[in-house]
Amino acid sequence: MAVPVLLPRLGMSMKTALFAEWYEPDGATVRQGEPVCRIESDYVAVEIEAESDGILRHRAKPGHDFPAGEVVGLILGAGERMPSATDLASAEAPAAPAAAAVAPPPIAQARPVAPEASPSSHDREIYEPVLLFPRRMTEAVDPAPTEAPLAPAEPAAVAAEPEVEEAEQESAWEPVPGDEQDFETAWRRGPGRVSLPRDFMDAPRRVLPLGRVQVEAARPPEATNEPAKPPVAAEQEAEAVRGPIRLPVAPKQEQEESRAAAEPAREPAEEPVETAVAAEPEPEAPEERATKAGAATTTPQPEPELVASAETPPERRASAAAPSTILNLRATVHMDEALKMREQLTREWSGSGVRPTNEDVVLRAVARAVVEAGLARRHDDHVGLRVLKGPDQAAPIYVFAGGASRPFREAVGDLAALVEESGPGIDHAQCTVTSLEAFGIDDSLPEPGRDQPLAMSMGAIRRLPVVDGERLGQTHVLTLTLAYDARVVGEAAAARLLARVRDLVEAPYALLVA
Amino acid sequence: MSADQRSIKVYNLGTTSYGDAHALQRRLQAQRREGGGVDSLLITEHRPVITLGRSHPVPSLRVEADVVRNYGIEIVQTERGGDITYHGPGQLVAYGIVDLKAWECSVLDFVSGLEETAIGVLADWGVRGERVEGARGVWVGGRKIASVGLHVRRWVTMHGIALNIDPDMSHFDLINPCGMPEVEMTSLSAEVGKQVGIDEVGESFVFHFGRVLACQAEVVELNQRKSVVGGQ
Repeated sequence: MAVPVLLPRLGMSMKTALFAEWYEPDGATVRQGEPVCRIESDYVAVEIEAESDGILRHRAKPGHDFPAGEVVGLILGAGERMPSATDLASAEAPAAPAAAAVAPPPIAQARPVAPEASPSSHDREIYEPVLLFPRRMTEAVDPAPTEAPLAPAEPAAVAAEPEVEEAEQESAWEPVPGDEQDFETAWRRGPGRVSLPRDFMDAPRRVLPLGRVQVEAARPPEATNEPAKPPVAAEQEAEAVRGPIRLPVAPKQEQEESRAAAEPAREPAEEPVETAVAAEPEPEAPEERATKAGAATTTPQPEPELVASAETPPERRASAAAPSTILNLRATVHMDEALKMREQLTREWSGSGVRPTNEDVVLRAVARAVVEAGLARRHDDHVGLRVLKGPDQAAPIYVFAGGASRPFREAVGDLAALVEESGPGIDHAQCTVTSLEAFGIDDSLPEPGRDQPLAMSMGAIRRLPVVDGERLGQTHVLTLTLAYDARVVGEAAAARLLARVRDLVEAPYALLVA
Repeated sequence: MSADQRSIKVYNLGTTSYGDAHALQRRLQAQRREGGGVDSLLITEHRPVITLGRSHPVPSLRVEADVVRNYGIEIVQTERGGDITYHGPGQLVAYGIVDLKAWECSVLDFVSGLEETAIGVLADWGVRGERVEGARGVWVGGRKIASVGLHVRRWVTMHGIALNIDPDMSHFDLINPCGMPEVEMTSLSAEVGKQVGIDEVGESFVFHFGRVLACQAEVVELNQRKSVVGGQ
């Protein structure tokens, strides 16, 4: 008996599906369980298998939409002929339940929602879990009820009320806005342990030691008392006339003041006035502050970790106060081990046509070191190679993607393929390595590209005599020169980076491990 | 197994090449199809790769194919539904190899479940993701943050959903995502304005997957990961 090939129902919301492709031609012999065609709906490709052995006859043309239950083809047994159109029409009638048997309507069984009532409605209405999220979202987004004793009920504060609300809203996310800047936490947080004004601005809200939280919680009662004292209120009023950002009780504003204090370069004129005002309002403030300072200093300050900044090097450079500073470091690297490894790998890979070069080893080491130093943006361990082959040749930059994490052989193979082609330069590498090996030049001063914090040049390998006990031997050395943008990478970090590259190249077997 | 006994084993593969993860999926799907194996959820990040849906063999690129090659990005033809997409580091990819017949779950409900899972994850970071009628995936204010694509054979799924956490967004500029030239892609990091750790997102994804699809998710520690994904 002829077995129909049915277009299945993929879900209650499906009306039609695209009949995409026959895998087997009309008249082909198919076996049970073999995929014969494919349908597509809602980014889902479904392969339909033959339900019995036989001859496949096409009925539907690919590229058209059909409803669920459509008989798109037939599988005929030996000696069977194509059934008539009326037979097929009657075959399609039970086709729908058959399809339902293949694709059980899950909502009916799995979820207590009547499927018959809503076959035409959209997924969103019959799919339960969607309802869970709006509630969660509002909980998360709505500001916390205004119980925090932040707003002073005081006339001078009226002008600043929106600001206070804003501070409260912020407090829904970050419950403890600092009343003074905690420079300790901001210190040396950037890549290469360099601090920028922005780090000071952001740090107290990012990291706050637990001890400080308690100090903050103890403070608000005094804060609400402050405005009740008439002389102080008068003072404050006078101050409020002089400038809008004066209320010391609103944490947000204090924060802004201290922000301003933290970046004198931005608002140099206002800075002294602001700090003076912050110290002024309360006579009892000094000792209170002193006790607080005591509490703050007694709480153990965790050593700030070296974290990669979310900013890109260009952003960081733009926000740095210092003028352009490209500095250089130089290291001599012993290449004996690397050369030995190269020889071994060349033998080992001889069948595949992939041959590692000195540049491959150095590039790999640079990529690894850049990632380890936290100087790569996350995963973005691109390192470029500028190959200088001859005086009349352009100097393309090849980007070596995933240089630190891929298997060495794969990386070498890809790089070899890239160097073969001469494509346009791509300058989004974190570090460019310029190889001078072809010219036999020892050294040059590289220059980082437009968006790069680092550039390195590798010179030619030189042989130097060494005294090995009684004998005179020779060693191979190479000069690596690192140029770095000191506004993005600190001097110490750059030195560590170069030392790490040298260590990796001198003990190169570690580079083979992805 | 009835619907209230759904269970799934979660494997966090770390960073994988597309080929390795794909081969693993195919093996798991074939095994499941023959009635063996277990339902599995593979969580991974891929090295940069562009994949094509079965019905769209010609890549819908915004740049020359050479440019893509120069980026070191491979273009791979797959059997899943949907059109072109990009995978890369910083993108959480979840592949479900699930016997839907045993789960008594329809294909489209499973797709919706993946989308709802991603929406739940986004909500954990205070981002409101939504589904849009006629355009699968998860959207945030008209920008696409997660893409789905599945392949089903004998009611066993493979492929799944890719949620952008903090990928190199410039790579999306190489393609017309899902074949639609006007689609703008976004990422969780871009939406919340700070870096988001992909491991945390993975944990959140597993939690919401279990909640949305009403299944017991068991995370399997992969000490033998090397042998599972083959050579990485």
